[in-house]
Amino acid sequence: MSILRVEPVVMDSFGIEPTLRDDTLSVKLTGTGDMAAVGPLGFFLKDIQSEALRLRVSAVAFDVRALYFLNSSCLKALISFISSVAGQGLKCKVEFITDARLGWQRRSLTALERMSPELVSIADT
Amino acid sequence: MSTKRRTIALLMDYVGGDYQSEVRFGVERAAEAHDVNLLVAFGETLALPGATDAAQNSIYHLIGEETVDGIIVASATLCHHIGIEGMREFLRGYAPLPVFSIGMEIEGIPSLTVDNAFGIELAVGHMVDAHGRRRVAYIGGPANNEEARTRAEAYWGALAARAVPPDERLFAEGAFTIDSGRSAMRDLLARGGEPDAVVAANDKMALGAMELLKERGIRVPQDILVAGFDDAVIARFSKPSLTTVRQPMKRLGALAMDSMVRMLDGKDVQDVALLEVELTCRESCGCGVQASASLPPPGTTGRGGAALIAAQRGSLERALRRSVSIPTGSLDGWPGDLLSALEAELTGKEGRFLHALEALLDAAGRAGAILDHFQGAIAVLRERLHRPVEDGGDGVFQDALERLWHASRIVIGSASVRVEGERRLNVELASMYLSWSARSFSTCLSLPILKRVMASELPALGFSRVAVSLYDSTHGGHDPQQTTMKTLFLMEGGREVEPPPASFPARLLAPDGFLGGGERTTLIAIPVAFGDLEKFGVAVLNSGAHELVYDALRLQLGSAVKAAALHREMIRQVELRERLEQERIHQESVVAARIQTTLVPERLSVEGLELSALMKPAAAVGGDYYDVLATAEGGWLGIGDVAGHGLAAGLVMLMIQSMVSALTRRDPGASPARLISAINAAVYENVRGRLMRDEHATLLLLRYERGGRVTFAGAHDDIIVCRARTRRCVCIPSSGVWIGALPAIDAMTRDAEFVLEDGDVLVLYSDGVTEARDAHHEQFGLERLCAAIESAQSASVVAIRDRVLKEVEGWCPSPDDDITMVVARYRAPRQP
Repeated sequence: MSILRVEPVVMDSFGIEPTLRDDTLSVKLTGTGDMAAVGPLGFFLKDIQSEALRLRVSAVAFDVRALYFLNSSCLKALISFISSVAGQGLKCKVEFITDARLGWQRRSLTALERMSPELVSIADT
Repeated sequence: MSTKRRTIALLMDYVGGDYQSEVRFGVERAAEAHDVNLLVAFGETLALPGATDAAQNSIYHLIGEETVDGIIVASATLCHHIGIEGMREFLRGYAPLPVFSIGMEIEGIPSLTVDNAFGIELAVGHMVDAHGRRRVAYIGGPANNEEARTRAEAYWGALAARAVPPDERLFAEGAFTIDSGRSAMRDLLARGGEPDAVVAANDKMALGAMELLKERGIRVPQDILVAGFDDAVIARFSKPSLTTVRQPMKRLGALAMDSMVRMLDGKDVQDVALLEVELTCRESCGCGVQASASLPPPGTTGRGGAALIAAQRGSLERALRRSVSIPTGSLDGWPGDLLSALEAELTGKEGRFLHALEALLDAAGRAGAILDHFQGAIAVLRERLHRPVEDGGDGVFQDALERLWHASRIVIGSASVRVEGERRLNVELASMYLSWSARSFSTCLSLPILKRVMASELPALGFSRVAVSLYDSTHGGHDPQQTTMKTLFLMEGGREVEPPPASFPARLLAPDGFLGGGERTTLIAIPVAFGDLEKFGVAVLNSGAHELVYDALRLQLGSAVKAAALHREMIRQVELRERLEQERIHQESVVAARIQTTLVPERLSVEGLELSALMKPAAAVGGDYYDVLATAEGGWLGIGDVAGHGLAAGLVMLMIQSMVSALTRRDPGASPARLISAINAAVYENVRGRLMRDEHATLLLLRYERGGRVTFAGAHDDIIVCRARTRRCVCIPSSGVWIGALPAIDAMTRDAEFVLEDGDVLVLYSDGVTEARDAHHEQFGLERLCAAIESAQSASVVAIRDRVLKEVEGWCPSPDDDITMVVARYRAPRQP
């Protein structure tokens, strides 16, 4: 049985909780992705990328419904992640589970989807 | 009027060695008897002349008249490197304090040595006279050691006295250690001198020699005899047990203290006193247990118990005294007392002898005697009082005596085992506590943690009074007169107490009042040092802990203080680096802010548009961009935001600004989508390929035509148009992708358009406006922005801009992102 070798991130205003279900690596982001979250998110995404490679998962699903805000530096980390996934030729989809009521999600993630439509998909709830 | 209690210092290299331990024991017991305070200071052997003084030796230079009235020096332990001349200089440095030397005869200094020459004469003589050996080899001590030299000379003398021809091949030199004894024995065998006996100048070298002989298959004592010098504890337990010259080390210490007290009282002491030694024969010379070999033969006759004793009482007392070595003078009358108890026993007071023997063993154990030696005393009594029936002895009486001797041997045996067991238990306990404390000390990374560890660990190690003081960092170099210390840790009665804040001269060793309180004390002073060169301070501790503990604690404290110092330095370096890094980031931000704000257009002038704009960089500059460029047919508006912060973001923004400016100038009517795609390709190449970074940006380019048509492309926050007709805001989303993230975005970048009507207000803004958050982390948001624009739509574009800014700043007084806004009101051309 595969065990996830990446630690959750627990901060006062930001959190990341990774879980492995079948061949999907789920990542739940919560709180506020502001400047304090930039470093931890960057490191986490680097780790999760190697985990995706090691476990050969078919999808990484980011559940951002409880992520209230994501600033441009955090978004940059997500874009770098997606670029690397694409660059490594991983057969791994990136899915965002979003809440349409949150403005940033529509704005930023739609642009992400437009950028790599074959890789990124958005599921509104 | 009471006089101040005297304090005597004892200087030695270690407290843990056999010799050191025994001498210290003797000095300590005599100090108790004389009611003087004792301060034992130990460091290392003195350094070679010319060499830098070992840091550990700093402790010796701090001892002086400020703290003590006289100094006893265990010279034999300190002199290995500096020799007799060096020792003389060292001891003279303490004048005018009275100084007494143990183990080394030094001109002008009263000293007490054991009769080294006689000891070797006994050992060599025993090999030749008792065992008929003619090839007696000798393993001597270090050449610079005075005692070693005396013993070596006595070896040659003993051979000469017996007309045994000297043979250089039979003489080797060691360094008083087990290893050096092994290698000396290896040399002796290699030289082909064919030794049939070996005498070593101390027990450790003899044990090393026996180890090597065993490895070579040479049996002791069958093939070769071995004898040592000292009668160290281990000599009794080696296999075979070691024949050795018993050096009364405890007695040596006790007599030194007696002499020091006499000196302080102004009484005469001998310049050089010699203490007698005797040979203890065990298995290694083939004698086996020989408790009373040197006793004079029984000389009295008579019948009956008490009479038998009375007739030879004087001689019996002497023989008993010789059979047991009691270190201190406290039990001087013990043979007489024991004989009286035996007399009482024999006159019918049953149990008196065993009772007295038990009390004696108890007291002798406390005085540090080897209780096993009392077996020899019983052997003396048995031999002297035995009268065979055929010689006229009383059979019943003899039976009773035999039963008494048997019971006595059991009492001695169990007392001896008990003492050894206690000793062993103490060693085990000390080792256990030490290994615990070592773990705690080794993880001390700061002085406050070290204090906590000392407070919790030292009581378990047997300490209740402790003062650990560290040299002030500005202490006066190597001059002990100038050096000052401050107490780091103070413990009284087993509890940590607040140390006095003031510095004090290092020569006081501990804060005021710690040394020489009301009660008589024995204190141990050890240097707190790391290696040979780094000295940090002095620790003064109560005596009574296991001697293993002091040596170990000296190393642990030194290492812990060193670790704390290293850690402090490391933290300082990290803080320094962080400060420099912050300074660098700050400088970058200043540069980036300058790039960002100086590149904004100075004048906003586009035909048909009333314009106002604003850029307010946050503390960590965010890389916002806006531009307004007039053309013959209208103009270009641009807005964007480079993701990330700092100088790199500023540089990317600078690239975008330059490219937009150049491309629109060259082709004012170009498709915004084509410009965006071209800029993307260049930015991607520059940022990823050349700067090796991963910045990307939002960028929205709008081409405005005087007639009101606006064509736009790119990706950024929604465009807001406040329609004059409806007085409502309309949000127009952009449909492109960021630039700099993909090598080519042509396929996903499309032109779109809308038309402005007279009076419409166009607002472009960065996310610093909509994502400004209040104390509850709620964003200002698009709705509030639209509401602010709508409520101010009739005012001038400057007033609209300022209204929005005021509301945003009211919402979030210290925004963490740049705030950028362009407000344009369209005025349709007048109809002709």
